[in-house]
Amino acid sequence: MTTVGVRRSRRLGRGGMRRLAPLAAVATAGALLLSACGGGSDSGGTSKSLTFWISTVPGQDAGWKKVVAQYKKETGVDLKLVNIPYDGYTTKLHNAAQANSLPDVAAVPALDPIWSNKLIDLKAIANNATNKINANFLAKDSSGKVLAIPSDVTASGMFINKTLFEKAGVSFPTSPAKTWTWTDFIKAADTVREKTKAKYSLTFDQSPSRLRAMVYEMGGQYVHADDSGKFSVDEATKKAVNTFVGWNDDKTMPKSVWTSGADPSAMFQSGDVVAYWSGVWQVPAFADSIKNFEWASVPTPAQPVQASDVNSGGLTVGFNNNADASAAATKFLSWLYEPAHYKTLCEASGFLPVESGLNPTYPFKSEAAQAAFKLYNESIPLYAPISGYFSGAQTNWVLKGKSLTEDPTKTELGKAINGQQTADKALENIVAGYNQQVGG
Amino acid sequence: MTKRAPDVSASRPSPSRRRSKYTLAPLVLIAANVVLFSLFFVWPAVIGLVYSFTNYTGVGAFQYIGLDNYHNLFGDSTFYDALSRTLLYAVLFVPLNFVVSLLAANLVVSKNAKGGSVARVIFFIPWLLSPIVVGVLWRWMFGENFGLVNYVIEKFGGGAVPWQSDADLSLLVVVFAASWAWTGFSMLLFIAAIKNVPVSYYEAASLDGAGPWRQFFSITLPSIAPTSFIVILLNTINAMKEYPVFVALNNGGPGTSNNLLVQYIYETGFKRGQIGYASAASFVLMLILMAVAIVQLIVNRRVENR
Repeated sequence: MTTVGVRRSRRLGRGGMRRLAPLAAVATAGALLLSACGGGSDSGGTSKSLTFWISTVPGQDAGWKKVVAQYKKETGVDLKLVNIPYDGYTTKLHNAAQANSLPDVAAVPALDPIWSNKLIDLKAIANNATNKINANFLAKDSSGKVLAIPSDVTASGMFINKTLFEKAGVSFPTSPAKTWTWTDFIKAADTVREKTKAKYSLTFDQSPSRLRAMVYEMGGQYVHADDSGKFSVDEATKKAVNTFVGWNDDKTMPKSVWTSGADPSAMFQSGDVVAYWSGVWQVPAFADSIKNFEWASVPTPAQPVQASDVNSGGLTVGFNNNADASAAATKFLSWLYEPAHYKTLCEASGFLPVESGLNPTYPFKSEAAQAAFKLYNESIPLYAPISGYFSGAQTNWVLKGKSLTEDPTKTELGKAINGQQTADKALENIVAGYNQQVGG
Repeated sequence: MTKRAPDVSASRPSPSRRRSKYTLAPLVLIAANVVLFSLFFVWPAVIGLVYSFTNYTGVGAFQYIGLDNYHNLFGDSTFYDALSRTLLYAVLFVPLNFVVSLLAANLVVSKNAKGGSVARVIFFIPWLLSPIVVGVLWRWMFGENFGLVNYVIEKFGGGAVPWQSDADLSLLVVVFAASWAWTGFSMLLFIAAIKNVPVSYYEAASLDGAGPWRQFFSITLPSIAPTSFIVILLNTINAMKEYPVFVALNNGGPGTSNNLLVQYIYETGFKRGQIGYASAASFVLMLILMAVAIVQLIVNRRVENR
């Protein structure tokens, strides 16, 4: 092999290389042209072949694989499932839109103005009464066109240390139909802390989403835009935020979480904290990691509003590449959101469904995890429309080419808890931050 | 016998040829460095300076707004808070690191010390750690809620100390953590300097009856003055630019009370999208650092010329 190489290089010599250069350039250009055409052929499919982009951690794409295989079996349409690493996913979609080679169907983390005008209207699927899709969580534009339907939803959730509650002899609600208020909950958690000598009553994620959920439950709208796009806060929000700041007294709640970034999840998992206000996505992790005490998910407090801050785990979209492929993509998405098929997806992927009345059976071994998912599946349909406000607002900002790059909530409330400013002043600064970034 | 003068013109190259021979080669050799320096330092610095006179947000076009950013910066209380906290941090960190590393260097080079080599490695290991790891390690120790130190204090009947939610204690923890991490590097510089002090000075001083402290203050400290200058200069510049240890340890908290200048610049520029304003703050920091370096240089020269 080496001899062949040497001979070849001798024969070419320096002049040979010069002669070959234009040929190489032509060949490279040809190859690039071909590869560009090849890239295009991956997308813009036909009625018998569609491209479907997703982005999940390898191994957690089981639900998508299952529904794609089932669809091929039932209809003969081949869906080419492409799992793209999350880090480059947005960029790849962006580039694909510029190169006119978008996939036919995709599960995306968020909408992008560069391709939002290429989306298929999913109104017929969303409005199909059989599907029972929760209208609060749809991504719509101002004309009412449904741009995306969540593949799944996530919400804020309350976890308690069941062992401590039982030790203290304090009861807690188990059904969202008979939930408690934040006042009841804090009173119960304080009692448990005092009786069991636990360190804190509650740890609360340093997250604007958690705070929004709590404010909604206390009847406020948090930072809300009027018709002109100008943001403000209502009196109920001011009251709720002041109450929240007051809880950070190093007894009910540790100051260090919101002021210095201490880890609330680690605190709860230590077993020395009565309750933890976090996201439902913690359930699978807790099912494996908490061994030294019993935990449980309890209904989110309602004072008086039964709500949460609900976001989509992913948004399912269809792209209008050509009439044939567009019709095939719509047909697939209609099939996907039929309750029986969508239930298969939710069960295999561990999703909380955006559709009501599914009762998925999840493969968790932990009883607490099974009970938690049952509770959230019962709770989500009961949540007030405000629960989807922020998710919808984000879609509108994207369509206007704006985004809330930095939610000032964490910094400003951290300063309020640290005594650097009042809670009302913090809210003023938060509103100013919203108006500056996404107002108007 | 008269010696015939050599034919200089025939054997030596002309001055112009010689100059070209000795200037061209070095220029070629340093060209790569000049290009890289220009590309990765001068050009970004020029862009940064230009941005500081604009309202650039990081995307799209920008407008020239003259000295508005600088004018606003000098009326910005948050900037002053960050600047004063940065100066306080430097004032606490630099002397502490100087004393601790000099002490460690003296201990490991001492004839009477046993296990000097092992101690040298142990002192040096923290410097090899990433600042983020240093922050996390110290957070485990000084975590307010579940840290090791508070656990021990409470076991002995004391109350938990607010290491994270008290602004001054939080700053002190970072000062100690950073000193711990930087001791190894400064110690190495001091070890090299102390070993270069002639032994005869100490022998003569011993014969004159000088004790260890007298020898340290009259021989060691004056002899290692240039190294001390370098250590102080490097530590001052590093302290003024500190960021990762603060973020990992207390996230610049509690609240924003320990947001130092670099964190202020980062948050303003990248989180709030005020690139022009943050560029102006960066140039103010650069000017402060240059002033510190020049003042220290002048003081050092005066000391050396005495």
